[in-house]
Amino acid sequence: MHTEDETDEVLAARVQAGEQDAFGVLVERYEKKLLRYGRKFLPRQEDIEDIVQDVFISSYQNIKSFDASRRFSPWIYQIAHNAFVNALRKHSRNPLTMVDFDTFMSYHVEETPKDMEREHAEMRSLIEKGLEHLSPKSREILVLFYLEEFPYQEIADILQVPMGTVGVRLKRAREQLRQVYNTLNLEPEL
Amino acid sequence: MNQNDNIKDTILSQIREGKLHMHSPAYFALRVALLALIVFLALVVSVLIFNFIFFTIRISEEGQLLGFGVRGFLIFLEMFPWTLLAIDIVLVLAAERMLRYFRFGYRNPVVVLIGGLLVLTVLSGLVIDRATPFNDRMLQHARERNLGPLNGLYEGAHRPGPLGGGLCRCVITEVGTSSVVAYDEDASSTPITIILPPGFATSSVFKVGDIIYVAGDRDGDSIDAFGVRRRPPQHEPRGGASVTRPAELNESGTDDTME
Repeated sequence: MHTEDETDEVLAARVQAGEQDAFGVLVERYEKKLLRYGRKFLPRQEDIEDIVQDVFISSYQNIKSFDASRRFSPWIYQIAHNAFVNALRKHSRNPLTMVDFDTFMSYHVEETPKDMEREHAEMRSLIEKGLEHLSPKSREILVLFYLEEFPYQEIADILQVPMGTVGVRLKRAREQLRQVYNTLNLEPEL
Repeated sequence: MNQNDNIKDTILSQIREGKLHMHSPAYFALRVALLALIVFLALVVSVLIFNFIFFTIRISEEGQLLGFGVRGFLIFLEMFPWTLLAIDIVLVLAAERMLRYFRFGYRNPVVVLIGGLLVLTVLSGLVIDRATPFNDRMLQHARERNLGPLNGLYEGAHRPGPLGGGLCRCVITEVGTSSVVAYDEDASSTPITIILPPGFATSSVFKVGDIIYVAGDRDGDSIDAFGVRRRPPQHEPRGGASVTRPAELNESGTDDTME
């Protein structure tokens, strides 16, 4: 019997031990999150559902590669990220580039302090309105940081880039979002 | 039906029906091992190629061209094995790409990773050529026709490039006032007259039996040289194959190089 209090990591360890129902609980927990994540990238609900299903299939097949001493959330989001990026490359005229030039150099990491809650809340409302006007790379980093609330290190693991690159992308994405708001004269909901 | 139940039910039914399986830990271990092996092999081949590049420059004495002014430098660039270098760089880039599969790989900037791999492979190649008898033994085996397809590769590396015949590793047979007569060390056929650059005091610099590296313009049986450097007689290194070590200075302590 799996309680609501069991962590994702405990459930993942049970799945690794062969408890199939534990995987069902993980699917319940992450389905809505991944569908929401997918909506930031792809327009068609059918495509998003197909990809999310593939993400869960892939995560079950590879569950024994998951290290239960680490967090489960960035692990499954990494699988989802790769799946959505591949889908974007197929569907979009302007996909995420094959070569990430912002991973070439080392950047100083300036992580946004967690106590800047007001800015965090403001950004969430800005992002919801302006996301569709941003490039996929900017959308992704803003969603992971402000909406899914991953710290820099876990975002780095999800995107498989250096931590400095996360900071640089976030800064550029914020600037891009501000430009979108200025250009489109959008009003943020605060 | 709730869309949430659809995905969950689909996945669970596939699991229960045995259509969806977990990969075993051995699968992941094998995958990592295979990837590590491919990276290792790519790097080993890259090291061997860099090693061969250094060997080629050393054994053909093309490095001497760098002391022959701009013209010598340009010829050096022309004769450099760029194809081998390109293959090497592709191998290093491929290794870097595969290393990104691992956490230590993607946590480092691309420049750092590629730079590190290049330093590793270049230095390793240099050490193998300069500090081990590996290439000398390979050259010896090539001369004995024991290397199969590599025979031509190693023997070809030994000879100076054509440059229209204007490059020569020559043994002096006569010393004149502004020229010397020599025979090609690698071909040893017709004597070649080497017209030395102006101001070259032949009698105090060269003597019969000296081996010189010459770069110039070939015209029949003569070379109008723009660069000449004397080297000491060959010595026997580890492995038995002869190697060449160019002399920076002659016996009287002056530099032989002329442009």
